[in-house]
Amino acid sequence: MTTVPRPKFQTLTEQMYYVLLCLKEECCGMDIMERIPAMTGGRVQVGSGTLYNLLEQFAQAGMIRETRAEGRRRSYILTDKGKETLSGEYRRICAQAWDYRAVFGEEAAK
Amino acid sequence: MRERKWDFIPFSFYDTTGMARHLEKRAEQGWLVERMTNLGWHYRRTEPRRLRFTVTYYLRASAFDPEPTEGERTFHDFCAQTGWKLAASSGQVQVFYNEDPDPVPIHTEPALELAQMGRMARRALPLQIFLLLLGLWWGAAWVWSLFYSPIDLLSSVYSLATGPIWLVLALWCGADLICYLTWRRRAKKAALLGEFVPTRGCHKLLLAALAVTGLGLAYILLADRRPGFRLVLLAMLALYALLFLAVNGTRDFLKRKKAPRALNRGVTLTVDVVLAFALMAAVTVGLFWGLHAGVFSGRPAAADPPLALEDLMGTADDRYVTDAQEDATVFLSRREYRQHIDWELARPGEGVPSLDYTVVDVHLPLLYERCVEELLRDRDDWTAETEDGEEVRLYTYVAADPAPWGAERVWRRWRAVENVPTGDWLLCWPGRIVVLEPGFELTQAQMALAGKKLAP
Repeated sequence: MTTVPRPKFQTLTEQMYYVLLCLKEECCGMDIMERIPAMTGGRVQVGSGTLYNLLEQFAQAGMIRETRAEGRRRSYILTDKGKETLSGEYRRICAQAWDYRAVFGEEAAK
Repeated sequence: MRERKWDFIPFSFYDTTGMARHLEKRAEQGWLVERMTNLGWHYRRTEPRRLRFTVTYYLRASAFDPEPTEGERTFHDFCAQTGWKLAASSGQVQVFYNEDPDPVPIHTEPALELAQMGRMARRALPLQIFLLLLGLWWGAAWVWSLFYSPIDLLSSVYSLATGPIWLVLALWCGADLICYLTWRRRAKKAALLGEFVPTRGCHKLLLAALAVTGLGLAYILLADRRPGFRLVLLAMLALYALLFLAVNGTRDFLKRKKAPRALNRGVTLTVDVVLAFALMAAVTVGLFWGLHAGVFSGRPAAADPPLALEDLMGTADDRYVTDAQEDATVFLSRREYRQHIDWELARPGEGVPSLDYTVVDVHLPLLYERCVEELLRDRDDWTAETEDGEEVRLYTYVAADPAPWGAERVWRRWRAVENVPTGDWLLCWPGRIVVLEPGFELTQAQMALAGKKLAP
């Protein structure tokens, strides 16, 4: 069996999802590292190396853009392309949740 | 009490788990890594602590950077945010430690780490594959020689010592490559599930390879009896050390002077190439001078010949010169003797006999028959083409009566095309083989005398 490589960022990992979610508002990398655990009750944490690489790759893919740089502190914000990717991922997660309910019923989802 | 120490563990580039575990062990012993160089890792004494280490790569860094770039500093800032402090870095390798016993790892997305390692591998693997092919080529040639021409191989200290070095190099490169590819395959599968796979390198095998190389060089230095060549080998090792120090010194000097990366790389590379050529030229010139001046010799002189033309002819001629050379290892020795008159000293029309012979003493009985076979095959590649275009051998050995020689087994060399015997013989005694090539036909009495003189 051969596996066909997926296009980059067609589906997002949990960490990618939350990084993009944080960037709805302008913020820098350090803020993201604090916001994600706060947003998820500590369930999701993004490593510093991972975050650094993700910001770089998202910027290269045009999903975020740099808004300002104060020394080494660089701030980013989501672009339209990033919003589109994020909402696509949201729809995918919702579809999964919907399918779950369809199989197990509303009560089991609570 | 020492405040500084260093060690040298040649970890594979991908074995970041192995590196981190090693540094954690050192920290528990009270040594914190502070510097990484080509010669090893340097530590300073601290309180023994349980620290968590992570070794990672910052691929845009270079060993020629005068100081960390803005991007690299930003990366360090990110790491500091989660408690990861930079302990040491060297080029792209970055070592962080964390005092928190359960910190957020630097890498939390396995696919990203895998991609980063893949990019690192694309830089490191071509050299490793080249070394693997080189080691396989020379190692295979050595093994082939061990079976088909053991005399050539095992009589030479240099040939004997270099074979295992090539073989162990091929073994390490191959094993390391397999380890990396196996880890990569497993890591790819695990990354789909969001899991990391710890790395496991072959640094112990590389240490063994380095030990074999060191032992091989030491053996050559101790056992090579060619006049002057020990000096040549020492000079070459010293020149390599000088080249290594000069190149590293140039790079570090320019880094201290804050020279830009491109300038540093250009100057260091130029120094490397120019110095390498200059040093090799110096060694080559010195070698030729030494050979010409008689300071060096390709092979050491052998002891007095056991058999001389005077013994066979009964008369002496002071125009004769005798060349005697010997190669020897613990496995076997080969002594070659050649007694002849220079053609300039021969009178016109004078038929002057000559005497050539090779004495091979085999110290390991296991090798004996292989050595006999090698000598019997000695002229198999002397061929000619018949009128029909068929390739035929010019010489062949035919078994002969050993009794006149007092030997165990004897072969005589024949001209295969004309089917006539030559005056050359292969004589075997237990542990000794002699190829006797007198330039004339021996009588029965001369055979008996030669056999007596050449027997072990």
